[in-house]
Amino acid sequence: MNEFVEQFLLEARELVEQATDDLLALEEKPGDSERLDSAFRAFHTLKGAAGIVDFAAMTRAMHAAEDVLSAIRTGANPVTPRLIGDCLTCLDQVIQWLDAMQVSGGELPPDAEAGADAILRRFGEESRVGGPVALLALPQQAPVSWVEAMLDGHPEAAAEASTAIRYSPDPGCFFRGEDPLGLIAQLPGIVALDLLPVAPWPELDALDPFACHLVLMVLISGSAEQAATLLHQVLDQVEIRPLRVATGGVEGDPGLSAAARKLLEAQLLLLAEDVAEGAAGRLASAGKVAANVLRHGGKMAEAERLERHLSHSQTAGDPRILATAIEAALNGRLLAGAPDDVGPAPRLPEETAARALRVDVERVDALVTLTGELTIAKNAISHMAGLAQDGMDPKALAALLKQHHVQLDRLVDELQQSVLRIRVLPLNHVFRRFPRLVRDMAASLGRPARLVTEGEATEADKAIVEALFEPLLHVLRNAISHGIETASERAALGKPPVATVHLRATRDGEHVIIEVADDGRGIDLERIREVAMERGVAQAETLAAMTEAEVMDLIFAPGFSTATAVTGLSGRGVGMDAVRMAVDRLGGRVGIESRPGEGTLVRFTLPLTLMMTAVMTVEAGGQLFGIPLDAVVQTVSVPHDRILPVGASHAFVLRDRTIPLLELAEVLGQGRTMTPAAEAKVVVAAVRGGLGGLEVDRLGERMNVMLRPLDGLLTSLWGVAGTTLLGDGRVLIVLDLEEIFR
Amino acid sequence: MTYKVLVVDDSKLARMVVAKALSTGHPDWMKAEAANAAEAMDLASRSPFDAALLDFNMPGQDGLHLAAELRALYPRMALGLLSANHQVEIVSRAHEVGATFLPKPLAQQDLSDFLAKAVQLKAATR
Amino acid sequence: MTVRLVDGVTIVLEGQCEIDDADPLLRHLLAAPHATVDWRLCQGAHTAIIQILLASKAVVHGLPDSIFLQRNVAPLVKKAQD
Repeated sequence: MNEFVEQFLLEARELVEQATDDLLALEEKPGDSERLDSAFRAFHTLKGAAGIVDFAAMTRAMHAAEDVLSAIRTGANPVTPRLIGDCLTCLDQVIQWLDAMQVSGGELPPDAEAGADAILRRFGEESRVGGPVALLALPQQAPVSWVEAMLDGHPEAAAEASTAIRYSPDPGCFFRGEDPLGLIAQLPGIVALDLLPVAPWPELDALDPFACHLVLMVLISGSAEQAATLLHQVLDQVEIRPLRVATGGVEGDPGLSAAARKLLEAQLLLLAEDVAEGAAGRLASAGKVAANVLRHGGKMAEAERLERHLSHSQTAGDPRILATAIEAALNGRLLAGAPDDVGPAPRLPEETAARALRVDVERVDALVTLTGELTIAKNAISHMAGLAQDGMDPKALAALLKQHHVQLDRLVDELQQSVLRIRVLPLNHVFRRFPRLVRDMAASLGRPARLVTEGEATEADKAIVEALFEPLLHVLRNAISHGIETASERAALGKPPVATVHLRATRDGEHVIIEVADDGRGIDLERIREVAMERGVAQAETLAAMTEAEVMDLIFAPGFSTATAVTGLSGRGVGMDAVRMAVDRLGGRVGIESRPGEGTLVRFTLPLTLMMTAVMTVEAGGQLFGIPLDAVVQTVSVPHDRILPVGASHAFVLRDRTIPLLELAEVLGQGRTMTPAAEAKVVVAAVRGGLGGLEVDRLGERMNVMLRPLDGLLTSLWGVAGTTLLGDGRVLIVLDLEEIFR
Repeated sequence: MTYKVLVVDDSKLARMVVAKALSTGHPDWMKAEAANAAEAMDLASRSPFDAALLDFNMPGQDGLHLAAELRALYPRMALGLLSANHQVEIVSRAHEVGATFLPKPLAQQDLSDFLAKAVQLKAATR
Repeated sequence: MTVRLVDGVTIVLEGQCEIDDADPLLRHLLAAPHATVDWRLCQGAHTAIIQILLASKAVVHGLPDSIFLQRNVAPLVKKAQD
């Protein structure tokens, strides 16, 4: 991929983001001229960028959007949701094109022209007379007598002429190096030329040879566009008048036969019948006949469009929709796309992980410094090797080695942190996609809602930020479809008609907290209990013993959610259990809170980075395991006679507390390989709000490990939080205590 | 004899286009780049340029206003205003500040013509 | 040179006549008001040149050596003569 295309893809994505932001803001505040200007500039720059990489289809599409926004700027058109929606759809198409180009290594998408056509139709392009001409200051009221004079004066030429041009050069143009006649000579298809003095010629001795006193008028067979392009540098001195208005019909359109026309007209009469009885039947019949007529005339695409209009007409119960469509077909005008025309599908949230990272220079500088220090540490090792060879006293050597190891340890730590800092991205990276999606979801689900984001600048590891998209999307969708009441319900409750969903991110020590909060109806605990029993997730007795928080947490239980509703937006049915699993995999937690009638809050607690986890190693059943140190309260030796059976399992007492005890080897399905000692070695850990004890065979050491989340086949492994590679090549399995103690 | 041109555009892609056109067709021209009017004025106030190529459509101060400011600083500097929109007002306002209107995407020929004029201007005003 | 006064009665336009030929042409026409302009060797003419021909109603001889001038400009110049 050449550097221009690379830069194009990069810049274009940023511009689309900017434009989306501006359009959504403009929709909220239609009077915000700064946003309007910014959106306009974004489309304009996108247009320019497309031109640079010769992407003609995209240039056309951007130009159409630009014109629409330009019309708003001049006050000719108001901001409407339809218009914003069309512009956003246009941007969707651009993203699709960019994605395709990314994948193809820079090749232009082959079907781009069709996409551009669709966009132009959406914007109502067919009512206009073609591109750049619209931007020319065609004098609205000025009489076009010069055009008539030209046509009258050159009757033979008039037949072939498509465009009339009047060029009134500045008197001083010769000094700018301009040669108006020379420029005119380059116009395509000149059929007539007139040169007139602006004022009656003076006496020859009074004539200034260096001033231009002429007005040039030309009739050409070329197009207005061609003329405009050629005369681009002197457009302020030029009037260009197309002489033929583009007909809406497609060139070479064979048109409809007389019989076909008669049939279509008959359908119009049918539809015009005002009798209520049988209206649906007439509608269906008229639509069917009209579509068949078109098909018979070889107009397949038209027929399909007409059928879509028919179905729309039927749902709306308004025959005029179909009638308009039939009339359009009669007049040979292109049928505008029906409202549910297949435009580019709403951008699926399949955004390929960002391949590039924008990195703060300081973070890179920190790495550079570290490299220096590491080099020094490395040199120290070779120096010590020399000392060893020279027969240095081993004890002294050992002391030196220890010292340098401590230093290296620190440096590696710093290195790890620095590299992770580079991988850190602001959450805005994933948050920015949501305002648009919320808008679309709210519209399609019929629940007016707006998204307010906070704390987008909060940072987290790139992998986490990117992995959060699907879970957050699902939670948002749930909030809109289940959490929020209908507009009328909200009005009755005295709530603002448009629901607000907050998407907040904050930093809390080594964690990032993300909250999705809505002001909807809250969670109905009774309903949860019902569903839980229905789905066999929990028995009535267990439910009775649960606290409210525990009942609410059932939402995340596997099997609780229906997962049958497949939506176009997320592509598959996902339940809250999948959300929890995804978050767990990232090393985080997700929980839910609610107040009936007031709203619901889903809280994600995530690690700041795929951090080093401090673990304590233990041996059980001949295997080495790691226990996250932040969960470990203490280790203790418990005499076996103090371990009491409780129901099917065991417990022991520590400082007046009864602590459930599990044998790690047994829990993990390993048999005991060591003869039990008189005392059990127990690791006491804080688990699920309480304490739990794990009996192990041997206690190991503490270490910092880079916890790799499970992926692939290991994802479903129960009880495992992650793995890490030890220095000797062994894999250390780090336990998920929450799961073990469930 | 080498000349200096100031290229101002908020789009890096657009600046790349000009840079390429300069390096392939005009090795006797050195360039400096600026992403906005403020940067441009900063560079221009430090050392003189023989010509400037300004994008019209920039956030903040647009190319036309920048042209006026540059014109005040260097009355004889060749100024080119680039825009993809051939709007009449832009063209005539460009002429008002003595700038040449250049359509985007910048064609090699237009650039050559513009630079040639700049050279002529420099020679004539020495 | 592209504008020459030959034998005192003919002004010859030859090759590409540019803006700097305008003043000489004008002065020739002022000096020799009855001269004819022979532009058969003229391959191109700046607006200023044609302007002078039109303003002076000069008598032109022959057709210029350029399709554009022949087809579009010559008729106008001829018309101006009358």
